[in-house]
Amino acid sequence: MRKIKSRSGFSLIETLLSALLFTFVVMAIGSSIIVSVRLNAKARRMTEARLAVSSAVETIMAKGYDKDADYDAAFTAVEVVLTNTPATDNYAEITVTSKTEPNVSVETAVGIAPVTPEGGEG
Amino acid sequence: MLKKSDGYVMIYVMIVMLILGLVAGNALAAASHNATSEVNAVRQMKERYKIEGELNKILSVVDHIERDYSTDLLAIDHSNSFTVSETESIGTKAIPYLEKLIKEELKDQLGITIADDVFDIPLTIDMDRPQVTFEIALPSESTTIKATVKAVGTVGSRFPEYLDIGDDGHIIEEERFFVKSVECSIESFEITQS
Repeated sequence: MRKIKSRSGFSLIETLLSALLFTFVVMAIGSSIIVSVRLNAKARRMTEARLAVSSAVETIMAKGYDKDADYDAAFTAVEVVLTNTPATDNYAEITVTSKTEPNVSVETAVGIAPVTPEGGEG
Repeated sequence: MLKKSDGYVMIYVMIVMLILGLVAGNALAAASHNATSEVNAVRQMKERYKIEGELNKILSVVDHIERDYSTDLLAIDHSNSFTVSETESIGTKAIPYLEKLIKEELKDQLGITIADDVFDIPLTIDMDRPQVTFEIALPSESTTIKATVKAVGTVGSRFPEYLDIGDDGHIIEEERFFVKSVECSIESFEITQS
């Protein structure tokens, strides 16, 4: 009787195990990549929000808080909310919050903008 | 595809998976680090503007100090007014009153107590205008602001404030001076963030 000669190649078990392993690893890698992309997108949005908030706060700090100013129009990416009464406190307490990332919010106090005399330099 | 030797086929698959896993792991770690840094940056920004706001409050309060006893004939605060002899300069004499006024105003409006030793007198001051600098340190969790604030007062006077009759019968009149208003500005400003 002639013996069956062993052949080189993948056995069924090897193939199944490889496929299973491949699936697990690909799923893990895929999840990691999705999470990475989401984290990067979140970080990018936070950076943009932080810069917008910082820019708005710096601008208001430099000029002083002006009760007549239209901050919604001036800073489209942030919301500026006054939380005290500047007339009695001599300073304005404001909260500047990003419209896209509400977690990026700053509470600070700024001086009051000097009143420009009518007809004076604007 | 044939294997070259028995029993070692899995190793190739595992090597490829390992490389892919490392790449994905690194990407995830980098993204995580990026997100954590951004969260920290936002926290530091919040802290920084919070205490910068406290400094702005102090500046605003000092800058808006106003006492004008000369307009109200009934009102005069003797503890905040002084007399000056011919040999004394009004600016120099008014310095302790300027310090007192700043301390009182900050205590009343913001509840901030400022120690006496933070006040410093510049080497040269205007003879008629008192001037001091004082240091403020505002620390928070990871941010500290140190600022030197310059305050310059304007002196007002009221004459005669005090009328009395002396032993020899002559009328005693006194011109009393007081710090009327204060202008302040930041001389130096330092922020440290850890």
